[in-house]
Amino acid sequence: MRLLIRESTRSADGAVSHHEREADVRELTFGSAPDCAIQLIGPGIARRHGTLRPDSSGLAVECAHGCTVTVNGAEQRRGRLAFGESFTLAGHTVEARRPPPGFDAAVGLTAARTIDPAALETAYLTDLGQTGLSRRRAAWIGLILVLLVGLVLPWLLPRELVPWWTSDLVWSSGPLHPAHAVAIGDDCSACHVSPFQRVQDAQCTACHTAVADHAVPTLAAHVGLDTTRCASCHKEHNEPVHLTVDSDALCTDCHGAPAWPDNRLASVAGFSSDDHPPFSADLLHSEALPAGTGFAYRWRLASSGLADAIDRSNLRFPHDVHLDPARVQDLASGEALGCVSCHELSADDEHFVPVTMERHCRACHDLKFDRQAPDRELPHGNPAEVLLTMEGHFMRLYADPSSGEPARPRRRLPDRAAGDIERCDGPAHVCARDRTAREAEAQFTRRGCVTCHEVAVHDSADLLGRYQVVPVRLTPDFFAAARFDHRAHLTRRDATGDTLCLDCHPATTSTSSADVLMPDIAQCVACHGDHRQTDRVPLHCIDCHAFHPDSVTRDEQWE
Amino acid sequence: MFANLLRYRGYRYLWWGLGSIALGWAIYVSQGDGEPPNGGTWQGYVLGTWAALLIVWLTFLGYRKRSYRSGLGTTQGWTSAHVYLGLAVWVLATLHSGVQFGANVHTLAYVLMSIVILSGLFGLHAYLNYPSRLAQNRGGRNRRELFAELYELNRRGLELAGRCAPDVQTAVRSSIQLTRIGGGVWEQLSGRDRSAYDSLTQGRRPNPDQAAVIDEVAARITRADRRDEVTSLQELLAVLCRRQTVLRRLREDVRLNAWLSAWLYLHVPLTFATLAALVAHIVSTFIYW
Repeated sequence: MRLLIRESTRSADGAVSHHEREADVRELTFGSAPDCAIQLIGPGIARRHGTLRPDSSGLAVECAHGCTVTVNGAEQRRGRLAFGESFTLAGHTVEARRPPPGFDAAVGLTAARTIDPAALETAYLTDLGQTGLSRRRAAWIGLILVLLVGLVLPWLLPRELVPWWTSDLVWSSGPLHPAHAVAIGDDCSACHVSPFQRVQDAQCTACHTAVADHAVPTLAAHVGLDTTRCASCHKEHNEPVHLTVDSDALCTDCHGAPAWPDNRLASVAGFSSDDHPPFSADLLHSEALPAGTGFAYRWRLASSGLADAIDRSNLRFPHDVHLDPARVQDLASGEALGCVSCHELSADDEHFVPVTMERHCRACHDLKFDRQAPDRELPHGNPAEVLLTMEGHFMRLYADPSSGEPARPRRRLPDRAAGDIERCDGPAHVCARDRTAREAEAQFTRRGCVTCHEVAVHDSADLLGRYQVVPVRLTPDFFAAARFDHRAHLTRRDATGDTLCLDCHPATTSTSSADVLMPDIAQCVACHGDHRQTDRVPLHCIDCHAFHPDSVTRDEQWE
Repeated sequence: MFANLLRYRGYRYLWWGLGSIALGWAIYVSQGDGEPPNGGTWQGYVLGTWAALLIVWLTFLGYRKRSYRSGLGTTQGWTSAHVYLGLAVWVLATLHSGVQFGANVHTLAYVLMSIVILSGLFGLHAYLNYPSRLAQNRGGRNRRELFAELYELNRRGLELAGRCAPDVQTAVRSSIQLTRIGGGVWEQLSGRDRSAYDSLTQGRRPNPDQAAVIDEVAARITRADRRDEVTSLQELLAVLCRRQTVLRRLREDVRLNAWLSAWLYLHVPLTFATLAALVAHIVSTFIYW
């Protein structure tokens, strides 16, 4: 658009001078901005105040939002100027003039008599607030956006419809334990069933079916454990993953000062000789009950202080003899026996493979009973079978002259010991029965079984009812309520081999299997202590004691 | 005032802030070794509640600064407290989090809060340093006076150019018309000058710092063939150089003022975003309790 601008300037003495200039403009704009076709400076003039549109009869005026001009004394946002008419704005006058040939529009401009020169600032954007930035608008956008993504959308939208950043995954405060993550994936509702309700135990026990409670319900109610949720201790969504509480307070809060009625547990405040009670051994006790011609045995587990503990396994076994290299050697190698000759660590690194006659004793302690029959051995474990085996053997010996052995009267040879020849002139079955009775009496009361076993001799005419071997049960775990990692303790700077075992288990001086060769707390606290003792290897309560037992602790009092 | 802001009443709020951090740390370490420190322990709840209340209170300062008739302490005191306790809340919130972060709404609240605090630190830096630089740049005048001087120089420049040849008229008139001060966000913050002018021979040319038009007018003096034109051109050159100086001051004034307020465009909106994230953080924690 070709524009002719006629500027009229009034000098101080009132004389008016005119100046014409031409401009090529895309649009006939007016305002304070320098790039307006008509730049007007003054109070109340916007940078882009308005636009003039020429037509055949004059100029159409249209002001920007919130802006006006004065036409014929009236403020207007829109209006028309016929040729020769004008509008005023902050003292400036803009007149619509008929464009001369070659021009699309012509205006006359008379500047205001007085112009505040400082108003020139309105021509420029000199404040960030003028750039379209709005703190208020940004605040609202941020507020609404965060509430939408952080709260509203995850709540309202179904999971399958939304990407992760609008799902309830944004509420997760941390990763799940890997096992839980594999089991339930990212399904929050697997545990968080109802909004604003804590995770309930039912969600845990749905999978963890074999976890035993710490105490029977009645006792648990006494100490408030009945209202303690699984998640009170087992906290998810933590980094590093840490599902088990190992703080000693977990135990000492209650066991520091046991407050339930008729408590039989000593108080425990930590792990030191002063804070922790001496160890007690869990021992099996046999109780004989009359049954038939003899007894039946019932086994009970009872706890006993280590100082008074007597192992009533009914086995006769002197450790000192077996560990004395001068008295006992391995038959095959000729070397002294060691702890590992009999005690083999089981896979849990805590307990040992049970010692059995067949695997650990029989290589030395055979069950031969007749010198003339060195290949025959008695069966182990059943006295009746022992008697029947002997009886059968001797019956054959006396009844069958061709069995190869001197059953019938025979000449005594000078180089044979007296016991080698048994004479019997009676019928074979009588001879066999007598011989069996004598041999049984020897086996059950003088040598053989009685070497290792307690044998009860009854006054019974029937040989089968006369001898009763008291059953043997080796205590499988002297400290059933505690855990111990034997393998971790097999590495020491100053000891190897049996020394490692004997430091805690004084077997070389034990003359009787009644000895309980378990160490007391003094042995442990030489190296270990609780977290308050900085010069010891720290132990938490749960390093030795499980909160959840293998089965609920039985106590008749609380049943 | 601004230096006093930090030293208010013998560093009263510095001690409050340090006390808060010390107490928060004591609470934090009392979490023991039962589980990793986190916001779900009772200590975590205490630290979180404390930090959240502080954030709400710190937000209230924005309102308080506009209530000059309030009898509740001085604006200076409140601002001092805002600075020191705002920094303390950063530590408290970090302790509350147990330094466990992830792609979740909880960390979003922490990140937004951190940006608010960092922008606030920049604002503190600006408030402490920029006013003196502004005063130095203005040379004892204010912005209105500088613009008034520019207006007069523009007017005088046009007048002198009117006495010169058309090429000078075009160059000077267009250079005034195409002078840029401030502008968009980036132009205000960077002070970048996108001024231009129209040369009759070379068309529209960039004119940063008015150097190009000054060079053209200066070069034109040697080619002037009338003594009065030379005089006009010399006067015009002097006006353009004075104008250059004023424009430099104005542009620096705009730039410093932009930085003085720019941080608020992060600080204020993100404060509200932080409040929203705080609500989402708290509510979602209890939705999935």
